[in-house]
Amino acid sequence: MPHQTLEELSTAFAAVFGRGIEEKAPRRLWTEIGAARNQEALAWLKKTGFLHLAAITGVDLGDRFELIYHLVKAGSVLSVKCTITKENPDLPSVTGVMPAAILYEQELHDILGIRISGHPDLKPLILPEGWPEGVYPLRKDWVVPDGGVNSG
Amino acid sequence: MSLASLIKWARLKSPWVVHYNTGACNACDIEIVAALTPRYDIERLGMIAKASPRHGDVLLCTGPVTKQSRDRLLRIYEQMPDPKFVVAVGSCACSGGVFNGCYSMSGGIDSVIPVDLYIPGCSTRPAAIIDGLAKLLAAFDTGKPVGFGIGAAPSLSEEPDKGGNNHASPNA
Amino acid sequence: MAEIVIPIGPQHPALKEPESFRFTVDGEVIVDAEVRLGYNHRGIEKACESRPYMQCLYLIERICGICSHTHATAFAQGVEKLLGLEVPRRALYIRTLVGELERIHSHLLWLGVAGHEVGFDTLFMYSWRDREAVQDILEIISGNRVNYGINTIGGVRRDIDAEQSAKILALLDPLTQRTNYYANVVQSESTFVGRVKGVGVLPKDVALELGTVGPQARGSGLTMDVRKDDPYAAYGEIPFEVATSDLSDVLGRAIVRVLELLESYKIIHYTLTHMPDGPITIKAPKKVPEGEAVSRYEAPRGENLHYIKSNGTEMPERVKVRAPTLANIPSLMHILKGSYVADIPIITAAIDPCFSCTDRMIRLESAGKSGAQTKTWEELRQYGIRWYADGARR
Repeated sequence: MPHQTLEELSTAFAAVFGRGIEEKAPRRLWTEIGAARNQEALAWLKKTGFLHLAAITGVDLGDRFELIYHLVKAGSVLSVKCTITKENPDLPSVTGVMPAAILYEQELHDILGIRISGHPDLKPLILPEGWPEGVYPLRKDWVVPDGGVNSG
Repeated sequence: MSLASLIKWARLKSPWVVHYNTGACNACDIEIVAALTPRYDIERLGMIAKASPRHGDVLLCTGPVTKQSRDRLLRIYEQMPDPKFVVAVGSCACSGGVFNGCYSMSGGIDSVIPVDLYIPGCSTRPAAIIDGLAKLLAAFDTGKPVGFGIGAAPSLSEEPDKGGNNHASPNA
Repeated sequence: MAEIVIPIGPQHPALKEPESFRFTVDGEVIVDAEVRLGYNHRGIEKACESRPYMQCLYLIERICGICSHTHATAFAQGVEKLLGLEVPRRALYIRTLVGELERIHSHLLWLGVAGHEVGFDTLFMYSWRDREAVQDILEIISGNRVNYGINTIGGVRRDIDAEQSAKILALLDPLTQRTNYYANVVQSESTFVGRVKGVGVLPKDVALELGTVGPQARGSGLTMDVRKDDPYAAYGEIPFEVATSDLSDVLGRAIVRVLELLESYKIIHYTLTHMPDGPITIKAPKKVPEGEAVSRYEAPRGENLHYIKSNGTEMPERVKVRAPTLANIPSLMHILKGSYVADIPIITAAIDPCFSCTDRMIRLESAGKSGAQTKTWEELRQYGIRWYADGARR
């Protein structure tokens, strides 16, 4: 049964995942879940009509990584956050629930070194060939060498 | 008429152009393609876009040379027979442009191969491309420097230098 | 049966190198497809973290030269949200105007490219000639044919005057007529239709599952358009229709783009005849308070999403750009599996990919046999034209 209002949706979501859904700006919803329950949360939200996975953002917060799944329903964007540690940057793949995630997860692996378990094929996607293994450019501790020009 | 001057005449009248994008945003590339379309029509100057470097006289390069495209750029250059001329189209090709300081860049075409003609712009409009190429053709004829950017114009002398190359020394 | 691997990659045949697209082929049919990008990777997101927001704007505008205004506007919108700025209405209208002019030039460009891929070069020359009129207008308004730089954070940098407005309005009727002609061509010209009807079928539910956006999605009957669903700039005030087609093939995608052209002319007419008075910009502080914004824009290719995280300084903490082409690659790969080799060029062109397709190399390797063949993209394109001319398609 689809939820009629945001309040109903938020309450129902909180009952299962521990945190409600907040509208911080017009058509911009936010929530947070535990990373291990990402597949479950996305499947739950898909049933309520969030059918379009627009993007997955990865952010290096210094002491941990934050992943944000941007889901869309009827013009509203629901950004679902979760965090993982830097020591164990493991995240289950959501491609089983939302096949659109396939390249977005590959990109997270490329530029941040997030280990996506259960992904069909985590080969490099966007970094140039010959890019050294284990070097993740979007991590904060990686600095563009020599100001970037003629860097190799 | 000697063979050499026949070849020189043919090149002047009908240079074959190879176009290679080294990681550009495509703006300069579509302006190069626009140069082929009826408003600008570089074919009337005898220029034809050729896919294979082995048939090319002029290499039109766009883009700031990403790491991934660097080796390829070199291979294409090596595949082209002498005498050959390299044209950097757009600010990124000239110097890396706005992408200077980004990782995975080499920084301009002349960081990889010698460039004979620099046509700046972001992007370079078709009229500027035609103007630059016309100056290059004029340089074929007279052997005088093109007067645009750092590279000196090559001369179509009858005796190529020992390297089989008619270039002034590159700054790379 | 021997499986043949066809990689489609940049220029060089003899060098072993990673390809952008890799196909496994069984006879004439594609059995499997893989993708690897990185050819155009320029580290822009990282660069934004060490540049003030205005410099980021200029850099981001150059993500793609065909839809530069898309990225600049999406970024400016995001920063304006973080700053809590109310951008003047006149600026929103001008952004909309330039955005629709960009859509027109992009779709006309696409029409030409699509024509070229199926050997219909007359269409290419006609549409690019018509496109020049739009490039002239963009140059009159902004000073440049591409990378217009019309945006600033807080509004736009240049105003439209009565003379410019009149010039644009005068163009709309001829463009409408030309576009109606193209609408007719794509639906009834047998050389074109024969190459696109029933080709590259993408069912509606699969399109949605795979995150498809833009004309690729709307051509499969999905009514999704950020301008309508999540209005930005002036779209909330402007009446227009979202173009869709239930054909779900390349022809459907072509029809959607042509219909969008016709809608764009109407939107432009509206913006010019309803242009609000007032300032074109509002002052924007250099330091952006902590926050996060998600900004979306309907680019010619589809939904463009920018995520910006600010940290109270003059430089962003994180800028994430998800351009529409990336969202359409999974559905592209899905379509290619089971398609004919001869259809690779037109199916790929149908997503209107935002990477240079003109210098791709195709390598044919035979698993069980010795010797390898190399083809250029141009040769594959010619192969497709001859294959259909010979009546090979069943």
